[in-house]
Amino acid sequence: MTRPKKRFPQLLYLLTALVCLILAGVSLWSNNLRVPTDALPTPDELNLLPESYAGNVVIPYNIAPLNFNIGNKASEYITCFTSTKGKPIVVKGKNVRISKRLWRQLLESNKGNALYATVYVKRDGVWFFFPSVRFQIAPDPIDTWLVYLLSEPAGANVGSVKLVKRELESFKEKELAVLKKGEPTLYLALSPAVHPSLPIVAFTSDGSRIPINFLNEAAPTSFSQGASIRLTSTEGAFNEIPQHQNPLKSIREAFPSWSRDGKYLYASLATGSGLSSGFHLIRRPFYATSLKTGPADTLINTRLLKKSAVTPQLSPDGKYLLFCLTTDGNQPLWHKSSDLYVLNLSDGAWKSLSIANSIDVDNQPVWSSNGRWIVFGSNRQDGTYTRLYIAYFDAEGTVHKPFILPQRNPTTNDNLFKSYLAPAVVSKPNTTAQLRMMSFMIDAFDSH
Amino acid sequence: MRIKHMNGKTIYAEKERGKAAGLSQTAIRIRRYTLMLFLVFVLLETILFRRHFLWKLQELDLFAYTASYLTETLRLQGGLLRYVASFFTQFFYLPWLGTLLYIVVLLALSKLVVVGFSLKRHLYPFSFIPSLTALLSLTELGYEASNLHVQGYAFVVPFGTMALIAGFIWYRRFHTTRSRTLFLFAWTLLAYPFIGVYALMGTLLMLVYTVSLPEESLNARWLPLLAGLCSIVLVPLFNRNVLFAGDEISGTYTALLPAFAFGEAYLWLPYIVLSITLLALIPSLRSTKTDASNLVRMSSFVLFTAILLMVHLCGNRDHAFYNELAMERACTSEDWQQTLELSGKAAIHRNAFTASYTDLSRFKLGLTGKPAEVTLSPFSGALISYEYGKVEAMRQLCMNQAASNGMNVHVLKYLTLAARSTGYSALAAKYVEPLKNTLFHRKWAMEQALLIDASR
Repeated sequence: MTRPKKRFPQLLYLLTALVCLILAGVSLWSNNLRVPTDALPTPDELNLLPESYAGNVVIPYNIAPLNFNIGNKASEYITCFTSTKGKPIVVKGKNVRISKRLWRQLLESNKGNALYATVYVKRDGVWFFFPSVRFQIAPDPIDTWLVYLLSEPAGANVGSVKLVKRELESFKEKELAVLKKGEPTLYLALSPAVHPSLPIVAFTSDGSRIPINFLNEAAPTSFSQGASIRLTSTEGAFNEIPQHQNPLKSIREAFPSWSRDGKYLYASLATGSGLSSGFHLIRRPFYATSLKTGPADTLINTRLLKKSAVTPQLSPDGKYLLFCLTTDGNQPLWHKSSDLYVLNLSDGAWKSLSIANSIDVDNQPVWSSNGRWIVFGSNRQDGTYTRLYIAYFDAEGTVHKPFILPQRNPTTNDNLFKSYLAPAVVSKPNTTAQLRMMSFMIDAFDSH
Repeated sequence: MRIKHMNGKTIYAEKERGKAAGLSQTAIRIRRYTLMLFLVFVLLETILFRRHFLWKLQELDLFAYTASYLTETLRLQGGLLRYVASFFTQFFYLPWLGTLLYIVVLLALSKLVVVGFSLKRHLYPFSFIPSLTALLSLTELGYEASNLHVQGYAFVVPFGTMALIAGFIWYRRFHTTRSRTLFLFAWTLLAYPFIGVYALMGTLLMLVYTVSLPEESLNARWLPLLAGLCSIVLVPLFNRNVLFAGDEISGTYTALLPAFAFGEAYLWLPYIVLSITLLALIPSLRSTKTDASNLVRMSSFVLFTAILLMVHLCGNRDHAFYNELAMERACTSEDWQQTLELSGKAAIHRNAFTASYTDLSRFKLGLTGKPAEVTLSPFSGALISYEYGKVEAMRQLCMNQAASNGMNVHVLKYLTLAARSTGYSALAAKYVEPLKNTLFHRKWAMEQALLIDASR
């Protein structure tokens, strides 16, 4: 009975010594993370991986840490993140992994300010530094969640499709469902759009599926003649709401998108008989009482351009319409000509989002709920696999340089042989509704 | 082999050991012959008859020495077993080395059966039956090998069986109702994420053992039985919803089983025999008999020989298929002369694909022009398309293969070539990267990486 009493102080001493040792170790380690004061400038170019982080990128203050790797050769690496206010973040190593807590503190206390990342490298015992990489911290946040499909890239006709939700403020990711049925491009072709207030979905119905030609980049790909936008109730079984049928069979209509108030339906419409004939951007009024759409107003006529304007997405404030302009048909998934454009609905002017576009495919643009951020897909990294990019859309309607969706390990995308498709930026991912929506649309497609 | 080189002194020592262990001369002979027969049979069925098939198996697999490959594999149901099995499968690149490892694993499995079921001496030949069924699961395969959806398939069955027997051995150490119940639940919960369906099979084995115990009261039986059955049903569901979210329910209960098509039901034979064998061995645990008559011993040896024969007869014996694989291997190493020689040797056992390889080698040697029609093998359509310059068709084939079965060495190689030859350097670099981290394809990958860098 007396032995434990004797042992207690010994254990206490041992624990105290252990804590002291740990503290000494931490102190020693943190002392090593001092930024070199005697570093010299280097004429070399900084090789950041991913490349899209380099050069005046605008980031939301609530985004996950922009971890990156340094591609330049050196024996030691130190990266220092500084801004106007707050304590700088110092990270050691070639693979820059930033503390989520420190990153958040720094960004939140510097909304609207610039953030600088200075990389120091040690070569032959001498420290050098690269010109600082500048990030602009936007005062506008981005929604917390990003929901997307992870599928085979365009070109593979089979395989499973995963529905994934990702927290944008961290790296938390969860697979919501695995769909082995149907190909991703078909789901996208259906392009379902849920009405903001009524239990109605608008989708594209393509009476006769035409084979999609992935092998020939220049080949026209399009919905067949007779493709039209249909409305269906999401309550109960597949229950199509009859609409007025267009007397001209050559007319094709696709890519529905609702206005925020649900009073208008934006879409793409082609009148020519050829498969490669261009799609115009149109808008139809929607009458909630009769659940019917009215006659179309043409917003952009692409006849002279010999291109197609597809996948319209109205900004939350209703002022801008994002869309893709592509040659030959209406599938912007793999045509390199596909670029992002924006239409100012107040004056009818439209322009290319040049700073966001690349020489490769740029597609599937979507808005954040505050209308300040655009998330879109691009194949610019390797020409085949679609990755998601985020770009700032300021109050003047100007888009800024985009950056790739941050990953805990920046090489994640290099090792991933899947494409990101159908992104949606949401504040609360309603898993059940999305799952139901996907299975519903796939069933709907099968039944057609 | 060992017997042939043995001198009299060695044999004498073995007899002494046998006597010390209480074995009769017949028992020693039967053990020796069983082991010899088993080893010779496995060698015949693998390296002698199927060395090109074994090489092909590693081409259809991928093991990369990277942290991301490990984490990605562990994220799958039965991830650890996939990882270990895939690690061993890579050695089939050198078929003799892979076979050697395979034999060691099969012998370890039979040893574990002896220990796990406390197999009596006269039942010694039975210990090889699980190993033989594992062998059959490999030798019965033909073109199905390209569509199994299981990484490292060749080693999954023996390692999975070993894991479940190991769990069974552990379970037998518990004697109270509470400890058994807890173990059953803990085993299923902890083992399932790592070894998939083999954990469920282990639980089932433990349940049958518990029920078969004669001295147990009804109360001592139903609690573990209930816990075991609930675990079998609920643990995979729990894993599906928490750890491996999104997977299909059917896939949850068949994790690590091959995806045979409806018309390939006969391919389940090894799994059926394996299950029956393991369950049938449980009564032997109750037997108190330490030895039996020579007739019983001979009977078990005869049964072993019969199963040996069954494994041989049920194995894939499509010679044209094996000729095709030999020719494919020669084509892969661009040895067109050897391909032609193999074509000559395969005069009797030919198929459309061997004809296709013959045409290709003749074309490559300048003996003929491009054929009007090309027959693409399910295994190597990409190879033939590439050699005839049909790069887009090859890319399409590979993309579809990757979509249905995941990336493997074969697909990555041809996607690299497709991307490089069409000027997609960044894409080619992406495809070649995993190959750089393999043991046997690293050299090829590094050569390609140099070419890709030069073209940038």
